[in-house]
Amino acid sequence: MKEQAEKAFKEMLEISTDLDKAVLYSGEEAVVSNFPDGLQATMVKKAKELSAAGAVRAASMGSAPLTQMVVESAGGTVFLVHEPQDDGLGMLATAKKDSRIGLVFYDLKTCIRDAQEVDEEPIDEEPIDEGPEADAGAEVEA
Amino acid sequence: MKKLLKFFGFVSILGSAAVGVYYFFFMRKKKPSVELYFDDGSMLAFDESASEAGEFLALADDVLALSPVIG
Repeated sequence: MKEQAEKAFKEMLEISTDLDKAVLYSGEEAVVSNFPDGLQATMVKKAKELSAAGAVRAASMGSAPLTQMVVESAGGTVFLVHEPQDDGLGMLATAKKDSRIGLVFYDLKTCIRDAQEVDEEPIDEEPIDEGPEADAGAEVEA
Repeated sequence: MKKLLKFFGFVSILGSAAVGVYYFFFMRKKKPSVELYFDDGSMLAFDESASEAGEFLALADDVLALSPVIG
Protein backbone atom coordinates (compact mmCIF):
# COMPACT_ATOMS: atom_id res chain seq x y z
CA MET A 1 0.00 0.00 0.00
CA LYS A 2 2.86 2.38 0.89
CA GLU A 3 4.20 2.32 -2.65
CA GLN A 4 0.78 2.97 -4.16
CA ALA A 5 0.13 5.73 -1.61
CA GLU A 6 3.43 7.41 -2.46
CA LYS A 7 2.59 7.29 -6.15
CA ALA A 8 -0.91 8.71 -5.60
CA PHE A 9 0.48 11.39 -3.29
CA LYS A 10 3.11 12.46 -5.79
CA GLU A 11 0.52 12.65 -8.56
CA MET A 12 -1.74 14.76 -6.36
CA LEU A 13 1.01 17.28 -5.64
CA GLU A 14 1.86 17.48 -9.33
CA ILE A 15 -1.75 18.07 -10.35
CA SER A 16 -2.87 20.46 -7.62
CA THR A 17 -1.35 23.89 -7.95
CA ASP A 18 -3.06 25.17 -4.80
CA LEU A 19 -1.67 22.58 -2.40
CA ASP A 20 1.46 23.26 -0.42
CA LYS A 21 1.97 20.45 2.10
CA ALA A 22 -0.04 17.39 2.98
CA VAL A 23 0.05 14.28 5.11
CA LEU A 24 -1.81 11.07 4.36
CA TYR A 25 -2.39 9.13 7.54
CA SER A 26 -3.94 5.91 8.71
CA GLY A 27 -5.00 5.78 12.33
CA GLU A 28 -2.30 7.64 14.24
CA GLU A 29 0.44 6.98 11.70
CA ALA A 30 1.61 9.08 8.76
CA VAL A 31 1.64 6.97 5.60
CA VAL A 32 3.16 9.54 3.27
CA SER A 33 3.82 13.25 3.62
CA ASN A 34 5.82 16.16 2.31
CA PHE A 35 5.88 17.88 5.69
CA PRO A 36 9.35 17.79 7.26
CA ASP A 37 9.95 14.49 9.08
CA GLY A 38 9.88 16.12 12.49
CA LEU A 39 6.46 17.63 11.85
CA GLN A 40 4.60 14.64 10.46
CA ALA A 41 3.47 13.18 13.79
CA THR A 42 2.40 16.65 14.98
CA MET A 43 0.37 17.19 11.83
CA VAL A 44 -1.38 13.84 12.24
CA LYS A 45 -2.17 14.86 15.82
CA LYS A 46 -3.55 18.20 14.61
CA ALA A 47 -5.63 16.37 12.01
CA LYS A 48 -7.06 14.17 14.75
CA GLU A 49 -7.85 17.22 16.87
CA LEU A 50 -9.62 18.93 13.97
CA SER A 51 -11.47 15.72 13.25
CA ALA A 52 -12.51 15.37 16.90
CA ALA A 53 -13.75 18.98 16.96
CA GLY A 54 -15.78 18.24 13.83
CA ALA A 55 -17.14 15.05 15.38
CA VAL A 56 -18.34 17.01 18.42
CA ARG A 57 -20.10 19.46 16.12
CA ALA A 58 -21.68 16.58 14.16
CA ALA A 59 -22.85 14.91 17.35
CA SER A 60 -24.37 18.14 18.66
CA MET A 61 -26.31 18.51 15.41
CA GLY A 62 -27.31 14.87 15.24
CA SER A 63 -25.68 14.77 11.84
CA ALA A 64 -23.74 12.04 10.04
CA PRO A 65 -19.96 11.83 10.68
CA LEU A 66 -17.71 14.59 9.38
CA THR A 67 -15.93 13.73 6.14
CA GLN A 68 -14.41 17.00 4.92
CA MET A 69 -13.38 20.30 6.41
CA VAL A 70 -11.83 23.50 5.19
CA VAL A 71 -10.56 26.31 7.39
CA GLU A 72 -9.49 29.59 5.80
CA SER A 73 -7.09 31.54 7.90
CA ALA A 74 -4.93 34.63 7.45
CA GLY A 75 -1.88 32.53 6.60
CA GLY A 76 -3.52 30.10 4.20
CA THR A 77 -6.09 27.35 4.01
CA VAL A 78 -6.18 24.05 5.88
CA PHE A 79 -8.03 21.08 4.44
CA LEU A 80 -9.00 17.87 6.15
CA VAL A 81 -10.54 14.87 4.44
CA HIS A 82 -11.05 11.58 6.19
CA GLU A 83 -13.03 8.43 5.91
CA PRO A 84 -15.84 8.10 8.42
CA GLN A 85 -14.65 4.78 9.83
CA ASP A 86 -12.19 4.88 12.74
CA ASP A 87 -9.24 3.19 11.06
CA GLY A 88 -9.82 4.80 7.66
CA LEU A 89 -7.35 6.93 5.77
CA GLY A 90 -7.31 10.67 6.22
CA MET A 91 -5.43 13.62 4.86
CA LEU A 92 -4.52 17.02 6.24
CA ALA A 93 -3.28 19.58 3.76
CA THR A 94 -2.26 23.20 3.67
CA ALA A 95 -2.88 25.41 0.67
CA LYS A 96 -2.57 29.01 -0.34
CA LYS A 97 -5.27 31.56 0.47
CA ASP A 98 -8.30 31.63 -1.82
CA SER A 99 -7.65 28.12 -3.04
CA ARG A 100 -10.20 26.47 -5.28
CA ILE A 101 -11.86 24.49 -2.51
CA GLY A 102 -13.80 22.06 -4.69
CA LEU A 103 -10.75 21.15 -6.74
CA VAL A 104 -8.55 20.63 -3.70
CA PHE A 105 -11.15 18.37 -2.07
CA TYR A 106 -11.39 16.40 -5.30
CA ASP A 107 -7.61 15.97 -5.47
CA LEU A 108 -7.38 14.89 -1.82
CA LYS A 109 -10.20 12.38 -2.16
CA THR A 110 -8.76 11.01 -5.38
CA CYS A 111 -5.41 10.52 -3.66
CA ILE A 112 -7.04 8.64 -0.76
CA ARG A 113 -8.99 6.45 -3.18
CA ASP A 114 -5.93 5.71 -5.34
CA ALA A 115 -3.81 4.94 -2.30
CA GLN A 116 -6.33 2.30 -1.25
CA GLU A 117 -6.80 0.65 -4.60
CA VAL A 118 -3.93 -1.73 -4.03
CA ASP A 119 -5.49 -2.98 -0.80
CA GLU A 120 -8.66 -3.90 -2.55
CA GLU A 121 -6.99 -5.57 -5.53
CA PRO A 122 -7.19 -9.34 -5.37
CA ILE A 123 -3.88 -11.07 -4.94
CA ASP A 124 -3.05 -13.06 -8.02
CA GLU A 125 -2.61 -16.61 -6.85
CA GLU A 126 -1.76 -19.38 -9.18
CA PRO A 127 -4.49 -21.98 -9.25
CA ILE A 128 -3.50 -25.07 -7.32
CA ASP A 129 -3.22 -28.00 -9.62
CA GLU A 130 -4.49 -30.93 -7.61
CA GLY A 131 -3.72 -33.37 -10.36
CA PRO A 132 -5.67 -36.28 -11.77
CA GLU A 133 -5.97 -38.00 -8.36
CA ALA A 134 -8.12 -35.13 -7.02
CA ASP A 135 -10.35 -35.35 -10.09
CA ALA A 136 -10.75 -39.08 -9.58
CA GLY A 137 -11.64 -38.51 -5.92
CA ALA A 138 -14.27 -35.99 -6.88
CA GLU A 139 -15.82 -38.47 -9.29
CA VAL A 140 -15.97 -41.17 -6.60
CA GLU A 141 -17.69 -38.76 -4.20
CA ALA A 142 -20.24 -37.84 -6.87
CA MET B 1 -22.18 74.71 -20.74
CA LYS B 2 -18.65 73.36 -20.98
CA LYS B 3 -18.09 74.24 -17.35
CA LEU B 4 -21.27 72.43 -16.35
CA LEU B 5 -20.18 69.27 -18.20
CA LYS B 6 -16.81 69.43 -16.53
CA PHE B 7 -18.52 69.74 -13.17
CA PHE B 8 -20.78 66.73 -13.82
CA GLY B 9 -17.80 64.72 -15.03
CA PHE B 10 -15.90 65.55 -11.86
CA VAL B 11 -18.91 64.67 -9.67
CA SER B 12 -19.36 61.34 -11.54
CA ILE B 13 -15.71 60.35 -11.03
CA LEU B 14 -15.84 61.34 -7.38
CA GLY B 15 -19.12 59.46 -6.89
CA SER B 16 -17.78 56.31 -8.55
CA ALA B 17 -14.68 56.39 -6.39
CA ALA B 18 -16.78 56.84 -3.25
CA VAL B 19 -19.03 53.91 -4.20
CA GLY B 20 -15.96 51.78 -4.92
CA VAL B 21 -14.41 52.56 -1.55
CA TYR B 22 -17.70 51.87 0.25
CA TYR B 23 -18.10 48.54 -1.57
CA PHE B 24 -14.52 47.51 -0.82
CA PHE B 25 -14.77 48.16 2.88
CA PHE B 26 -18.38 47.39 3.74
CA MET B 27 -20.21 45.46 1.04
CA ARG B 28 -17.75 42.79 0.00
CA LYS B 29 -19.30 39.45 0.76
CA LYS B 30 -17.29 37.76 3.45
CA LYS B 31 -16.54 34.15 2.74
CA PRO B 32 -17.14 31.73 5.56
CA SER B 33 -13.92 30.74 7.25
CA VAL B 34 -14.85 27.26 8.40
CA GLU B 35 -16.80 24.77 6.33
CA LEU B 36 -17.69 21.33 7.60
CA TYR B 37 -19.07 18.65 5.31
CA PHE B 38 -20.82 15.58 6.69
CA ASP B 39 -21.31 12.08 5.35
CA ASP B 40 -25.03 12.59 4.71
CA GLY B 41 -24.30 15.51 2.38
CA SER B 42 -25.11 18.22 4.89
CA MET B 43 -22.76 21.16 5.37
CA LEU B 44 -22.10 23.74 8.03
CA ALA B 45 -20.29 27.06 7.54
CA PHE B 46 -19.07 29.53 10.12
CA ASP B 47 -17.82 33.04 9.65
CA GLU B 48 -14.52 33.79 11.37
CA SER B 49 -16.34 35.95 13.93
CA ALA B 50 -18.62 33.07 14.99
CA SER B 51 -17.75 31.55 18.35
CA GLU B 52 -18.10 28.04 16.87
CA ALA B 53 -15.29 28.78 14.44
CA GLY B 54 -12.77 29.60 17.18
CA GLU B 55 -11.58 26.07 17.90
CA PHE B 56 -11.14 25.23 14.22
CA LEU B 57 -9.36 28.49 13.46
CA ALA B 58 -6.99 28.02 16.40
CA LEU B 59 -6.03 24.55 15.21
CA ALA B 60 -5.62 25.73 11.62
CA ASP B 61 -3.46 28.62 12.80
CA ASP B 62 -1.28 26.13 14.71
CA VAL B 63 -0.84 24.07 11.55
CA LEU B 64 0.00 27.13 9.45
CA ALA B 65 2.37 28.49 12.07
CA LEU B 66 4.28 25.20 12.09
CA SER B 67 4.34 25.01 8.31
CA PRO B 68 3.73 28.40 6.67
CA VAL B 69 2.34 28.35 3.15
CA ILE B 70 4.74 29.82 0.63
CA GLY B 71 3.35 31.69 -2.35
